[in-house]
Amino acid sequence: MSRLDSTGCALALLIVGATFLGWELGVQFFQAPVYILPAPSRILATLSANASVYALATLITLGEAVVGLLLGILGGVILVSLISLWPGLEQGVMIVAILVKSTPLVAIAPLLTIWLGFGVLPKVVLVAVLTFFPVLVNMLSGIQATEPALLEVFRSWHASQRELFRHVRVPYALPYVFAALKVSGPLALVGAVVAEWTGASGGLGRLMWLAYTNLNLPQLFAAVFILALAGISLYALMVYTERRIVFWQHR
Amino acid sequence: MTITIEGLSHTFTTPTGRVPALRDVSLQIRQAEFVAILGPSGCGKSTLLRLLANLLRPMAGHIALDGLTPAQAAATKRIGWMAQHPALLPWYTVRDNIALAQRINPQPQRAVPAVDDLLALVGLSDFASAYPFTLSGGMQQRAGLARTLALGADVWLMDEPFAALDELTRESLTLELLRLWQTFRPTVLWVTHHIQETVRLADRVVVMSRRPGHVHTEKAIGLPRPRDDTAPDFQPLVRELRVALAAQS
Repeated sequence: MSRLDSTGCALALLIVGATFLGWELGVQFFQAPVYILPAPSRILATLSANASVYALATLITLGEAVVGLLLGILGGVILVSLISLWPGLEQGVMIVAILVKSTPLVAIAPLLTIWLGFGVLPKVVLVAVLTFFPVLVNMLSGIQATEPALLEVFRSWHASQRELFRHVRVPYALPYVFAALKVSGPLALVGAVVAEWTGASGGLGRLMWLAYTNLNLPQLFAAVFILALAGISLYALMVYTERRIVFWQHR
Repeated sequence: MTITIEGLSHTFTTPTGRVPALRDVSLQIRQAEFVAILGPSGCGKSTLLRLLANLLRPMAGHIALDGLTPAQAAATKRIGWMAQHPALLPWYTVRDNIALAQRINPQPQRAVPAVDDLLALVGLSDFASAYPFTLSGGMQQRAGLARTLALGADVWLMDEPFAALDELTRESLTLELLRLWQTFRPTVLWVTHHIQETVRLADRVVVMSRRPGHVHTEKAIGLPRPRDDTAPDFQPLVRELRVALAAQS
């Protein structure tokens, strides 16, 4: 799914709209208690009444997600560059990367909070740990999948490894990197929120944790709505950036 | 560039065993000679060009390009190698693709043609800023040709460069190539399985045998240029080469 066309958007809006309508009517009809399932109208009212609180929390969480994601991308790119320069490193790096990646994030998050405190730093670190892996794996596949016909032309010119990397291998791997970013973008939000749950001074995860301990479901849902919206916005941003940068893929 | 090939052999190792591709190939090619290499598919024609272009290392035998090894000749960019697929980089414009041939491993002491002149020579001046994927197959191959010319190489190793194109485009590009050869006067090794084309283009045709390939016959084409398919001497040469080739496939 590399493009969001208008019929697709219309269909998605229709499904979301119908769900919300059914939800609102269902809550009214069954008189569901607000501590079990609040109506969408109630959630939106909570949101608008506390707009500034949510805006600040969103800013904090998004900031953690984006900075962490950028660090994760940087880490992935550096590892791929090292492996390309010294192919002997591949096995070792991949084993450690898989080890780090397969350790459950809920196990790492409390540790990071204990070591790095309640500020944004442990969140950024967790997001980076979570997001570097798809970038590493996909970019490496792209680099290694580079069309032999392109490489042969450059080899017949006696091109250096550096010239090959810059003009052929990296551009060839870019579509693979963006495929990874479409996974890593929304994943960055998950990482930031989970990290905030284990202890934070601000952010949507912090708000959710407070709402959860008070059984304040409208507040909990309000945070969920914002996160869903932020997730799809990050994804759309990736798709847009991809179309601008990897233009030759969308002919 | 004069090329001497002596006792050249090459074998590929595949998961199912060893496949001999070339056996004891010897050839002498003169400065600015246009040599066509004709042979059935799988006779090692492409392997021969790859060995000359330093894309493969020979297992036995000797290659000298103006006295240099293929590695030395490639390192100083005296070799222009071109295959059936133009292999242009889709993320660069036509002009950048051509200019890259001069920017990679630059050889400041060697004279190279200006990119804009090359674009004009292959009729792509209006498409300098176009990306390769917006061009037709024939135009892409013209760009590939310009990129090979941009090297200012002493030898053009052309591995069926127009084989993937339609007949009309192929014929017009072949004529253009002949014109470019007469302008730049490089040595040309032209691999093909198209008999008419060899008689139309080459000074000499080398017919190769089936795998493992070796030189079966060499035939000098003495016809004056420009050559005419309907000239009385043309078809007998085609027939003679067809018989030689048929004995190999």
